[in-house]
Amino acid sequence: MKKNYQAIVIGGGYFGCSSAYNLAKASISTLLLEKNEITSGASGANFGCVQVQDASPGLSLELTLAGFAKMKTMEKELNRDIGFNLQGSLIAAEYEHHLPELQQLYQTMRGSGLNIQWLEGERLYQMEPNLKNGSIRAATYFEQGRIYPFHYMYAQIARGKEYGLDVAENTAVAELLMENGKCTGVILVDGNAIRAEQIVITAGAWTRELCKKAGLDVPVYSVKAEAFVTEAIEPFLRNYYSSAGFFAEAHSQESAAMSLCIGQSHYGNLLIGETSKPENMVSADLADNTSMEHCRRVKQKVAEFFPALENIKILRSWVTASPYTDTCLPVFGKSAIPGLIVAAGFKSCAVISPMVGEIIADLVARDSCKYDLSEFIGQSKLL
Amino acid sequence: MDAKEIIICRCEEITLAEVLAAIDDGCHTITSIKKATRAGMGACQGRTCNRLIMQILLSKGLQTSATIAVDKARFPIIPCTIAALGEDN
Repeated sequence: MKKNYQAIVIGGGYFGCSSAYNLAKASISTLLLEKNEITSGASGANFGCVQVQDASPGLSLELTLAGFAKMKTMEKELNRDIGFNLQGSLIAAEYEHHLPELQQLYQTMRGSGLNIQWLEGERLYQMEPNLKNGSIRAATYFEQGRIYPFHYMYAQIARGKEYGLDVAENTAVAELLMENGKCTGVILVDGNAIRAEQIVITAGAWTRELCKKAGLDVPVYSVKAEAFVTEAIEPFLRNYYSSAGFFAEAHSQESAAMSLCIGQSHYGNLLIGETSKPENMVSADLADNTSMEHCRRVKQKVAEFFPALENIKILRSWVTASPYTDTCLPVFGKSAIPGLIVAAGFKSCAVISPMVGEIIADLVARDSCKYDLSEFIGQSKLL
Repeated sequence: MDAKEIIICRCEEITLAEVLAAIDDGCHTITSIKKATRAGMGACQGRTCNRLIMQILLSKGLQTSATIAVDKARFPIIPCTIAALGEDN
């Protein structure tokens, strides 16, 4: 670790790894700081779904589609197996009250040129034979993809290091270094200062706290998300399944509730999540506490939609602070504080991360990028 | 014996060669080696391989008895069925 860099990236998740890799690749001297270990936050808790069909219309969808196309070439670019393959996605209207929202998603996506399909009745169960017959009203379907999150993030770190990237794990930032109204570096918890021309904050649920001390309000909040992984079983699910209520219900401080997501991993394990409940931050001492409500709700949801799984064994659980914004749009771009770039609060993360890294490298190297990020970054305000 | 022939994690069938490759990539803790290789993610949740990986890290001088941290034990400790969740006893 040196004392001066062109760029410092704070946070080693999807966006931090992608930014650090792209910056190093662009020959920019870069330091990636992570307060725990790479992948230890929400990105490491993620199921690796390369989700396309739930993107918000406009620039989010444009970047999502570009990210999906780029993800297909990442194994070649990184020269590593990141577990990318195509996989269908079902977004299910589980109850009558989910139908209007799902219909709206369907129409919006079709209107945006995305060829998603509307499934109900027999076609639904042909697409997902182990879904309990009659348990859901309808679903939208789109063939998208998945990755193995750890391999994807580690591959970028390894490739980034080949380009000269410095990585410091277990190195927490106490605050941003501010001089004459500019962000000029970071002050670590041990008191040492490291300077850089540009600071990139990709700290997920911790972004808001870090920026607040520097005088910038970044409206990225978080909910507690919980997950289980089961023993490996034979192919059971054809698609990644999620409830249409996920973004409306799960990411709300007022009405957060269990919203089922379930997918089968590359290795045959089922990934089941994500109960979410309002909680501004999962505190360190609660970070791995699985709740009793989560256990009860998962049991109930599995019985309701995938009863054949009732006797499958759970191997372990995890809990994380899942970041979100009220608008479902990320806070992303060059902030009002010179030298400070923010990238946090994205809706579906894996899919968009390759584009975010590329854009960050442009913002640092050329001070601009080919996209107008004003709607995204405009959500942050000087305090 | 060839490191590709030595199994470190029985459940996920992860070899010594894979563990050493992860260490070369900069994974110097039991948790990061687990994430990079899947050693410890199987049915026994690392009861066998955690000790072996601990010995490898200690013998390479990458950790000391003071710094080595075990992978955090998580619910449900021993595998349990989904049907058994939420039972009061």
